[in-house]
Parts: sequence; structure tokens; C-alpha cells
Amino acid sequence: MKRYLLSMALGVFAVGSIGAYYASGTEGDAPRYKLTTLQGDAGEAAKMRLSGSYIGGVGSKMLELTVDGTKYQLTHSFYEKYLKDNRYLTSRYEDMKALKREHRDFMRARNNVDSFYKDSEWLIYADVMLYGPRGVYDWRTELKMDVLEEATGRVNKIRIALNVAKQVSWLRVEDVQRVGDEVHVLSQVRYRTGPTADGPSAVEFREYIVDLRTGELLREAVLVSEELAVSDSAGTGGALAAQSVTNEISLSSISSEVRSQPSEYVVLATSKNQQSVNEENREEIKQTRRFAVFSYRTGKLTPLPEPSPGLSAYSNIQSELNGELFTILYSDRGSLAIARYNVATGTQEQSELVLTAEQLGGQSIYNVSVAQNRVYVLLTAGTLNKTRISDGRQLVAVVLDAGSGEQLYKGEAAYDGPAEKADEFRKNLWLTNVNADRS
Amino acid sequence: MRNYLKLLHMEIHRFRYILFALMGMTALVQMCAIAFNAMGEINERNVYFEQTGRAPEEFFAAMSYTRAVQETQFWFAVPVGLSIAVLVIYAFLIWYRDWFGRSTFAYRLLSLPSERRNIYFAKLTAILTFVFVLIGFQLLLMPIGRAIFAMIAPAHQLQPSYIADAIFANQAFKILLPRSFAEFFVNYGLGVISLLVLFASILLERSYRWLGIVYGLAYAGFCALLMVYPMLALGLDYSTGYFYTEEAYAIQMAIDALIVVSSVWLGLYLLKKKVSV
Amino acid sequence: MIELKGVRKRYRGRYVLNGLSFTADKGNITCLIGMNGAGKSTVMKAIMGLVPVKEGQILVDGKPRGRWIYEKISFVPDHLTMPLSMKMSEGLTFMADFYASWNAERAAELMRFFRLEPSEKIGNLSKGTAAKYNLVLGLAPNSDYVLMDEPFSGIDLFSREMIADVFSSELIEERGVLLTTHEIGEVEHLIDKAVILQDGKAEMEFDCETMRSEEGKSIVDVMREVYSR
Repeated sequence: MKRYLLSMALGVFAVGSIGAYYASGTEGDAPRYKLTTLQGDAGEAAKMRLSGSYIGGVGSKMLELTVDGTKYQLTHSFYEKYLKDNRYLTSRYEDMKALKREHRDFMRARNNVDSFYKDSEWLIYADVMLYGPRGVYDWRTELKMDVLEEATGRVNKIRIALNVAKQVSWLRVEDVQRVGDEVHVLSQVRYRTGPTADGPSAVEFREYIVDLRTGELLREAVLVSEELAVSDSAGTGGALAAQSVTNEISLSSISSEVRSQPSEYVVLATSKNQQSVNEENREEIKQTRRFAVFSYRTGKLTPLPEPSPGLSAYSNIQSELNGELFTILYSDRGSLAIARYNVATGTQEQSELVLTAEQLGGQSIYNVSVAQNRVYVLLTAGTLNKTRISDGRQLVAVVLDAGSGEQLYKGEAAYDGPAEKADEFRKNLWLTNVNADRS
Repeated sequence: MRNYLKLLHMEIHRFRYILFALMGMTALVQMCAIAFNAMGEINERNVYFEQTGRAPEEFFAAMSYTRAVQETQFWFAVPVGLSIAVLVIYAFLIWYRDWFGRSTFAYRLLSLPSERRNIYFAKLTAILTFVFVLIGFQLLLMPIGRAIFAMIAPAHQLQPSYIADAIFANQAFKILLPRSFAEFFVNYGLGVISLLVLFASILLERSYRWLGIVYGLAYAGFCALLMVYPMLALGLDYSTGYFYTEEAYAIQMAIDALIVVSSVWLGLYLLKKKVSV
Repeated sequence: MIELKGVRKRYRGRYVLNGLSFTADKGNITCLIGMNGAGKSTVMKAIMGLVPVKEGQILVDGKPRGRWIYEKISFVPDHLTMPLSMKMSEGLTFMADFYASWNAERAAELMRFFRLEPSEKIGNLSKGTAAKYNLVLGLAPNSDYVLMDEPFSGIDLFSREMIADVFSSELIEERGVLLTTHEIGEVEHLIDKAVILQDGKAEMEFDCETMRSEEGKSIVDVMREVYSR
């Protein structure tokens, strides 16, 4: 046995050293933080996720902070980092995960969350596909709809060739709803109106209405149509050069929060960005947004009241449609504003609610998020009159009721460890985003 | 079992001087790199002080072992690369040295009364032992390097470093010593599979000589294609593939298992029935 | 008894062994005779399972050969087969580790008989010393049969005499020996049975004593006859 000493020693050494390394934790310098409740109900913060980085001596490490504690992404395996979320539809959205469990084959190769419609009898996935080109302008478009009847489990695959007379360059399904025996597929279409690819183009919201049982295309309707102007170039100088204007128009839809349940309404937004160079040769961007409610049942498009002029100054805008309530959240560093509308009546629910950072208990709003009638705010407090940002800075998270603006929860991100180190580690935490789980 | 262990010990024993030489070279090159890096930084600080009369701490960030590892990446990588090359060559030589040269040990090995598969597994385990011993030794060097760094750097300018962070500061170690054990398992698992395919190819050559080289290359090529097939064909890297991630992953693992089983079976079969001196 | 029946082996396209059949009995010294390239070494390697055989049977004591023969048959090859970095003593330990039939005392005795220094590295041995060491490795175990491939080739005269002495000692007495050699003259007086290989077959298989007394022919005479046909 003594002869084999070398081999045994080497074997033990190899296993021991590698085992010790992985057992002792490979995160390195990764301090843990926690959310301490300052006021209110911690249950309101259950779905909130704060993300950012810990910046210690060796560089930054991304982390996520919730009421349950801190999670670093350091020890994710290659699989977890790059492969797991490629079917992100069925790994991130809870209702999609449930659908995957019930209808495994139906959910394969689906990648657009907005293309789903679900109620107790039907599960529908509708997609518009662009094929081609055979010639330069010959892009075939097809509406593909798979209809699953819950009672029988049978899937009806409907394929309709769309006759889009113009040259389509881009299209996407924004929402799918059912009214009686009609399936409404709301899509956004972008197409060339001129002969060349760089020439003028237009963007539209179109509705395709398909018979649920027979699969035939009943009718089409254009809901919103906007011409996209070609940018006027500055050219060779002269008077015209002093004022060059570029227009950017984009359309977006805000469909109901819970995508796999029926909703009668969808909000269509048109946003115009006017970029101009004024007399002092400085760039000015004017942004105007207009909202309109479309009812699938009546087919009527009703514009919502214009937001107050002060609101257009806000740089950040998010919105959510929940049942009949449409909430728009405006924010920038110093304050936020909440506007609510009732889409059934087309009126504003109440006057806009404006809250400054001071009113929320801090100095500077970093990030906001709106979800399920709650507004989540990440702000900093305690940084006035300090030489470095991190001195004395507190990271505060606040949850508000989207309707009343009432503060339901206020919490602070603090170091979870020995008190003497708390201050040092607090300075090294840099949170940048707040998000909420949408179930 | 006893015979397998005896053969394993013999294989390890035969290689011990080369193994120690690799370990010694790695220790020497890496520790000197750290020492020189530390001394160089101190020198920079002294120059600053002489030129401006101000304390170096005002201008320079604290000295950190993790940063030293990051800056000496090239020197760390040289012995690692050399060791990898030596081990790859020895994966071939561990077989061929018994056939070629003045003495053909293969005669003895193949006429031992114990099962021939003990020879196969002894050579396989020996290579793996060398790999993991070198990895373990590299792990051991990290805290030693940190201690050397701490001895050279003046205490008030030193910032503490975690070993895990220092390891991660080196690009090569991101693959060789990943933070996640699952990733370690996958990386080295792929290495083991390659080794098994290599052994099967070598034994094909030893059984069929010139034709065996063709067979060996064909087998290795076929296995390689099979391994990458799921990634390429099943669309694991984009979002609209037919298979769910866990399904494609299961398929990949099944293919890996198939290659392992077939390579080991082929190697053992050839060694028992077809190999010739 | 070692028996070959209809053994065929291909090597580089041609059949080196083409239906070879002969027997080597325990207690006898059998010699395989043939021209260069006739396949004598191949026969040895085939019996030892060091090369695969295309057709035919190799039986030892009536049973088909398998792993079990390695305790019963020792092989003395014509070149070194132990790692050059090993010392001779380590080589003996290696054999002791794996062979139940190893006889350490006899090994020590043989080392003394051949005047070999156990701490010498195998790589440093001269040709004659190496051949003697191979004999130690082959004769020390308590095996029933010993195969020797060219035991005298390239060995100096005095070493050859020592080796020849071994043949007449009790080390060989009860065993079956199968050997190949070019030096017929040296060993003619030791051999009991001769097998002459030609074209991959056993052209003649005869008892030497009988051949001498009945037909008055020596082995060399028979060889001349066979090769002139």
C-alpha cells in the first residue's frame, strides 16, 4: 500500500481542492442586501424587482433585489445564461407557462405574446407572415391562425392569403380578440407608397376579421393610417437649411394586461416626434402623443381627451390597460404624473395626479413602472449637499395606488450584514431599475 | 478492481516527472509574474512620489491582487496553455509509447491475466487524474499568489481580494474554472467525451493500421457532427424552434450519452479482440 | 498440449498463415523452423493473443485460448517489452503484482544465475543482458508452457551457452517449450520435435529422435529437402 502513496495523494488532492473551491462558494465578493420596510404593507412589494449592480473593488456585478433578498447572476451556468430563456414566452410569462402545461404541442414555436387569445372555450394564435420576395416587390402575406377548441382539443389551422395591394415592408400582430363568431386580428402594417424602398411610406393599424368556424376572411378595416414623411435634407444651404425638420411617427397599441383573457378594448397610440433645428442652431424635439380607444364589439374608434400640455414635457411614458381602466404614467427625474381614463366611456376618470420626488420622500426619481393598478418608484434620498453621490444616499422604493396616488409601501435597500459595514456597502449599491412581475 | 488500480498507479507513476515539471513551471511563472507586477506597481508609486511629492494614494487606486491577476493574464496563460498541449499530446502517447520505441510494453500489457478493459480504464483515469491535479494545483496557487502579493505590497495600500474574483479576472479561467459547478461539469464533460472518442480512434488505428486511420478520422468526424447537431438543427439559439429548450437539451444529453457508450464499447471491443502488436 | 488447427492470418494482403496445424506437447521442446517471413513470430503472437486470427482454432490443453492461458503460458519475446525507465527489480515486482503463478524465489535465483544486477535500469541493458532478463521474466512463473521467439538471435557466444544450459536444467524439464530460431545448429541436440513452416502451412512435423534413428537425417537435412522441392 505504501507504494501507491503518490497516486492516492494525487487523487485526493485533485478531488479535494476542486471540491473545496465549489463548496465554499464561487461568488467572491457579493454582499447581500435586503429591503427594509419603512412604512406600509410589505405584501405590496412582493412582486417588485429592483435591479442594478454592486460596484466593489473589482468591478460591477449585476444583482436583483426583492423582498426575498438579493440574487446575483454570477453563478449562472452557460445553459441558464444563454439557452434557457430562448423560449422566453413559455419561461417568463406565468399564464403562458400554464398554457404550455395544458397544450404542449399547440404552444410550440410561438413567439409573440400579443398573438394569443384565450377564453374558456377557445385558444387562438394568429400571426401575419411576410414571405418572399419572388420579384423585388412581390412579398406574399399570409394570415396564419391556429384555433384550438378547448372542449374537443381539435386544432383548426386556418391559412388566408392576404391581398395587400401595396408593398408591405413590415407587419406585426398587436392583439387578437373574439366577438361572437368573429375573430379580430389587430395588426400594424408598414408599406411603401412610392416606387423605391427609401421613398415615402405609410404605417397603419388594420383589423382583419375572420370567421371563427369557417375560417374565411370576412372583412378588413383600416383604423389608423399615417404617412411617414421623407426627411427633408439640409441640402446645399440657404434659407431652407436653417430649419430642417424630420418627422417620426410611430404607432403602438396597448392591449389588455392579461393577454390570454378576453378584452373588449384596445388603446391605439400615435406618437409624433418632430425634430427641428431652430434659429440658434440647437436641436429641439417636440413629441406629441394621441390616444384613441377602439372597441372590437362596436368597431368604433374613440379618441381620448388630450392630455394637459404640461404632460408632454415628460421624457418617460408608460401605460397599462387593465379592464376598463387605462393608466398613463409620466415621469422624469423630478416628478411623476398619473392620468387615468375609462375606455368604456372615453372620458378621463379624474384629474391628473402629479407627485414630486420630495412628496414621495426623496430627491431624484431613477425609474418607475406601472403594473396591475400599482405604480412602483425607485428614487434616491438624502443626497443633497454631499460631495459624492454615494455619500449618505439612500435607495428608496415606493409603491403607490395608481388611482388614488396613496403610498402603500415604502422601503429602503440596506446591507444585510454586520452593522459596522452597513454604511460602506450601502455606498457600493447602485440600483437603476424597478420592475414588477406581471402574473 | 485491484488490477485496475495497480495499472492506474503504474500509469501515474510513469508520468510523474512530467507532471511535477508542469506544476513547477506553472508555479514559477505565475508567482514570478505576480511578484514582478507588484514590484512594478510599487515602483510607479515611488516615482510619482518623487516627482510630485504627494502621497501615491491620492492618484492611484489601492493595490489589488485581483487586478494583478488581470494584468498578468498572458503570463498566467502561458504555462496553462503549455500544460494543455502536453496533456493532449500525452493522450495520444499514453497508448503509442507502449507500441513504439525500443521496448514494446504492449506485449506485456496485452498478455496480463487481468481483463484488458482494466488497461483502457487505467489509461483513461490517468489522463483525467493529470488534468484535475493540474486544475487543483492552479486553485492552490491562487491563495499562495495572494499571500505573495500581500507580502510585497505595503499594507496600507492593499485592498483585500476574494479568490473567486481573482480567478474570474483571468479569461482562460472563465472556461477552466467557471463559477457554476454545472458549467464546470459540462465543460469537462465535453472534454471527457472527446477523450473517449480519441481513444476509440487510436484503438481503431492500432487494430487496422492504415485503414484504421481512415476509420478513426471518420468516427471522430461523425461523433463531432452528431454532437453539434442539436444546436444547429433544433434551433436552440433562437426563439421559434419547434422543440422546447428542455426537450432540445434532453436530446443533446441523449446524443452525448450515446457517443459515450459507443466510444467506450468500441474501445473495449477493439482492445479485446482486434488490436495487434 | 498447445494445438493449432487450420489457422489463417492475413497481413498486408497475403496470408502469412494459411491453414496452419500442428501441436506442441507438454514435456517436449518443439521448434518452429522456417525462412524469414515464414510467419514464425506470428504464430507465437497468435497463440498469445497479441494479434487477432482470421480463421482456425488455437487450443491449449483441449480448451480454446482465452485470458486464462496467461497464467499457463509464458512468453519470451525477441526484444525488450518492459518500460525502459523501470529498474529490473521493478519489472519483477510488476510481474509479481499481476501473475498468480509468479515465483519470486525462482526469479531471484535466475537473476543470480544470469548475473543480473536488479537495480540496473532496463534501458541501459546490452542486447545479451536484455535477452537474459526476458528469460528470467519468462521462466520464473510456474507456467506449463514457455514460448520463446528467437532466444539466441544476436546474442554473444558465452551468453548463448548460458541460455543453452537453462534448456537442459529442471527449469525446462516438465514444461512444454515452443521456440523459433535461425540457429538450428546450436539447438539441434536440444529439440524433441520440429515443425517446418512453408507457405503458411506446416510442411513437415516430425520427432527429431525418430527422424535421426530411422532415416538417419538431421533436421538440417530435412530442411534442405523441404526447401528444394
